[in-house]
Amino acid sequence: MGKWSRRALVLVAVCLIAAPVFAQKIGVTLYDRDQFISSLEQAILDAGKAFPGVTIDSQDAKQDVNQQLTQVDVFVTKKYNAIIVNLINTDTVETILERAKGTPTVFVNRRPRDAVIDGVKTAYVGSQEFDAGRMQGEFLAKFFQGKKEIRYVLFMGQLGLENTNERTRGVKETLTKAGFTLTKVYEDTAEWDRFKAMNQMQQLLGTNRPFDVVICNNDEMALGAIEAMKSAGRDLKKVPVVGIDATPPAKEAVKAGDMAMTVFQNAKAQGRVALEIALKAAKGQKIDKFGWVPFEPVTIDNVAKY
Amino acid sequence: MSEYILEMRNIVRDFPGVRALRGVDLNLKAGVVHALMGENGAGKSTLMKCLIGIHRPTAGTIVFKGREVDIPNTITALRMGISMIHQELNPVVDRTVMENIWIAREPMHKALPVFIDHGKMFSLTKQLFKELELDLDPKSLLRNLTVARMQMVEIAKAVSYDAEVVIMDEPSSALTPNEVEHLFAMIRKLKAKGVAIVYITHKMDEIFEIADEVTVLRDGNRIVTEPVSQMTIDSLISYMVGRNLDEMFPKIDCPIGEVKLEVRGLSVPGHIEDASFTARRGEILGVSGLVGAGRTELMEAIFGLRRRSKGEILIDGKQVRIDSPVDAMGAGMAFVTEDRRLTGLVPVLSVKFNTIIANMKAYVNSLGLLRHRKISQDVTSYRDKLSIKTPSIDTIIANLSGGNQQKVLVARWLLTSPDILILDEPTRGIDVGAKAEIHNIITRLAGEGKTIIMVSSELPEILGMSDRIVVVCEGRVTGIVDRKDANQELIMKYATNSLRASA
Amino acid sequence: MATLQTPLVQKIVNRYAIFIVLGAMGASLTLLSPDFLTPGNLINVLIAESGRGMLALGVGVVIMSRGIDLSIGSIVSLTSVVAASLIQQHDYSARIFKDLPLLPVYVPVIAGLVTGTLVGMVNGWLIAYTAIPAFIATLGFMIIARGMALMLTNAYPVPMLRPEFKILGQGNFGPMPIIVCVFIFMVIVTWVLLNHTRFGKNVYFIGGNINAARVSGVRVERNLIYIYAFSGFCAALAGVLITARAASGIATLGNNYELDAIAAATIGGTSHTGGIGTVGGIVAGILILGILNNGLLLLGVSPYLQQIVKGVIIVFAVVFDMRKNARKV
Repeated sequence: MGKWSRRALVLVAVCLIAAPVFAQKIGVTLYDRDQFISSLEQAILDAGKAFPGVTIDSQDAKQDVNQQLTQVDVFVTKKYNAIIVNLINTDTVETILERAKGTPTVFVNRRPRDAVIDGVKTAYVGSQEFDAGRMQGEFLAKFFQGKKEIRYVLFMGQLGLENTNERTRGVKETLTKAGFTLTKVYEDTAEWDRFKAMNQMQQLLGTNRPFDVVICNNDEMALGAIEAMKSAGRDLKKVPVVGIDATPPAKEAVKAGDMAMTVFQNAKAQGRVALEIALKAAKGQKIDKFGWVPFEPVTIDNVAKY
Repeated sequence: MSEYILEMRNIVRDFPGVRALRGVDLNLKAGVVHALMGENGAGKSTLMKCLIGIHRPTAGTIVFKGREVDIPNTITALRMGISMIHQELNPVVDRTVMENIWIAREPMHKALPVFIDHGKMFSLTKQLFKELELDLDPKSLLRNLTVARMQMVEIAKAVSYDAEVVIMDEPSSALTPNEVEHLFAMIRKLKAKGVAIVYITHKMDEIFEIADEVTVLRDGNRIVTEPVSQMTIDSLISYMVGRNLDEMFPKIDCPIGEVKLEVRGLSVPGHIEDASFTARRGEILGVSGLVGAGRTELMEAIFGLRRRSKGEILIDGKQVRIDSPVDAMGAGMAFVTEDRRLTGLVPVLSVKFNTIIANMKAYVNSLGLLRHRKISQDVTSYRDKLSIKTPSIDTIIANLSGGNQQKVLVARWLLTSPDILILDEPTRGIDVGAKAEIHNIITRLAGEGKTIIMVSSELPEILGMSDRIVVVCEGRVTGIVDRKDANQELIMKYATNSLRASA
Repeated sequence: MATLQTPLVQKIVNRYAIFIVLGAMGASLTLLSPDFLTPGNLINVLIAESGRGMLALGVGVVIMSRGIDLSIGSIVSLTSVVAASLIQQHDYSARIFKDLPLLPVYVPVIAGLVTGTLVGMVNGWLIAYTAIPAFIATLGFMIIARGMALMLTNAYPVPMLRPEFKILGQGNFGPMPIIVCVFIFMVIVTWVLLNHTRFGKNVYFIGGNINAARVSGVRVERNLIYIYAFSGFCAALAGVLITARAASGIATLGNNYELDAIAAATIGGTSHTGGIGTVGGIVAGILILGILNNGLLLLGVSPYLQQIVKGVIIVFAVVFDMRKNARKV
């Protein structure tokens, strides 16, 4: 065998090995490009640059289920190696998997039913809503150290949604496990709405019923409660208000000392992890069923970081 | 300036598919009551709506006080000094009497002209009522008034415009004789003030009492204009109906059988009092009378659409209980309603569906699904039998001509195989050719032994088609006339109940 | 029903049914909760309902004209973000309009009011001149206005409003919150409009019998535009004040408010067949909803049960009130 032919053989071998690595194509379909999803998308694209030869085709379904299905169809027709799906509606997950025709599919941020996640062709990347509530609970347990009873006001998100239920369960269970007795002063839904929370809070304050803490399923409701408490002259240092989401105005409120804490959901990390799992699955490697990206508590001590 | 305050010259008005006015002249003098007469559909209301700005004439000119005018809408007419008492428009019942009168020209505060001066409105109304000698509370809601009093409010309103021309479209239709006298007193006052009045009515006696001149319209043409003093009831009637009873009415004599339907002492509060008549197998029973006499109400009561306070219905000599249309259909009756659009047709659906709608039950299979093939067969067969002109049985019925729509309705009821077929104004608003075809169908059905009850406002139709004629006036059966004795004058006399007066 | 022989007591009950319902609710809450009948609590109820109350006035007028306005909730959203975006604090880095100079406080207020009134006028124009049903025209703008609000803000709140603007929603005028004063002012304005101006009469005439209105010389088309512009204006006013109160422009603010406002007007005896309705009734309707919400809050009723209770009471109130409209056969 001559020198040239040996070189050629090496070249072919390299190509054979490298080809699957270099030709990875990933399709991404997003429910809509709001602020959170946009930064998640950017993280996927940024992470993709670290893997030479990976091309990413990212599409926005504009909250239209049909468009999302069409996008999946196109990805499959173009023989993409894996798909990342940010679901519009969790009910469509079976249809999406059917249309994916066995192409590895990673769901991100919106969680499908656990039954469809097999850890081979499908996985879920996101944060556990329960953890967000748990972090509120841990923060409050520290805050109320030495106390026995906590008289709470709770503003819940829309009733019947998973994040409403899980966030609520998280904070309550954590505080109970830490040995506190929880006494309900007021507990109702304000439907994620700042103004509704504000109106309810104002009426509650009018009754002069004492309470120790205001727990909110999201920041908007927390900000509404804060507005009402401020105009009633309540001391926000003594009665902490806690939210979830770490939206820009909430971070401002934390900085100003009005909001005791909020919880940050890491869009960038969710995007990065989703891509990593998608690439692994595309190569047929073993993957985890769930890629959990932890929430992060935000308080006045670390708010500058976010 | 001519002797006329208002001249309508050669007015033409077209509606889709119909020429309602074919070049009509009408001249009004100040201080003169001008009666406008004609059968239903002759064009009286259309002519007046052209004057008040609801319709625009297709051609022709209107000259008001010597100047040619254009009246694009009601506001213009009212501002010019032409007002109208509408026959069919209801007042706004949840508002007060005075608000209804001063609508859109409420008196305003002097100092603050954005605000309405209710005190002034009240006193103006009081003053108006005093002038007209009306005893009404300006502040009561119209809802709480009787229909007659609402009508008086409408009249007061028309007068309050200080109009020089006042059009009254059947103002007396809802009034009692006493109230009519009051109305006439008001009209005489207006006359004395120099107002020109157009008075539309069906009631002959009123014409001779109040009107000075008469114009008769027929089929959108002006037939005659004459002073009332030169007219008689008979000449007026002959002007109104005066057409020859030609091939329009292909009546064939066919054997008339035993009594099929008998109505005894039937009463509907406020509409019908003590009506009795019979109808036989194979007979065409005409029902005549003026608009509002209660003909339709009578038919509706027989068909179970209206609650009867008294009376019995017998079929084949046996008393039957009819409380609803379902009962009536069960007893073998069918009813083609007067207003095709209101109660008959479903305009957005196909000919096919409109045909089977009353008889859907017959086309449901054991699974509760429709038997489309059978539907198509039957509808097609009736389309041929009644020569319904339609591109296909799936055509939307709104696209058919009025005559063909009417035939679909007849087909609908024939599908239920009725023994008694009630037709209310079966040829209203359809063209001459289609009329003749419908008459043919009616004759044929009678020949098959069905009992036909035909309500019609057109005397020639009644005379040409009926074996016997039931005449209704003010809710009572005032006469039953045999074909051989029937003529227009006699029917008209029964219908206006003037036989009693002259006899 | 023989209305002629109806005894006086029954007449009064029929006529003032909705106020009796309101009184009964107030009385029972006073018994059930010591916190209810306190000046502070009652003012809080007024504050909470002022915004929706203004919407109810506007949509009430529309309903009296036999129309409907579904776009008012979305007008609140649009007004909210338009006004808020013009009055963000300058030291806040994520402002919507970065190059905007410091504007006087009336600019966002007027901008908001003009926006809402314009949307209303377009609604009215479509209904008057294209003859599409009010339900469809305003449904369209319900979607369009919300979409515009979301587009302007990328679905994010517009926070950090300047204090001189916030005072409109949070400040007091004497002992009364400004927002409540404005609501009371609007109640008076609407009452005067309906009872003492030609516009008001035309609303009733158009609703009662549009053909009669037309042949009597009412300029129906022009009045329809006014009617929907008024509704849009009311919604915009509510939007501006609520925004000032919440201290943030929110693109989802006013979500479903149209339903609450329509419910309040309906509870207050405004007839959807047109021509019937009073300002007093609408105010009673909005107070019934407000007291209901307040009562359920004070009593700590479970959020799930609340919805059932609310539905039952709304239906009951309307049934009770409707008896007065029972017609003679």
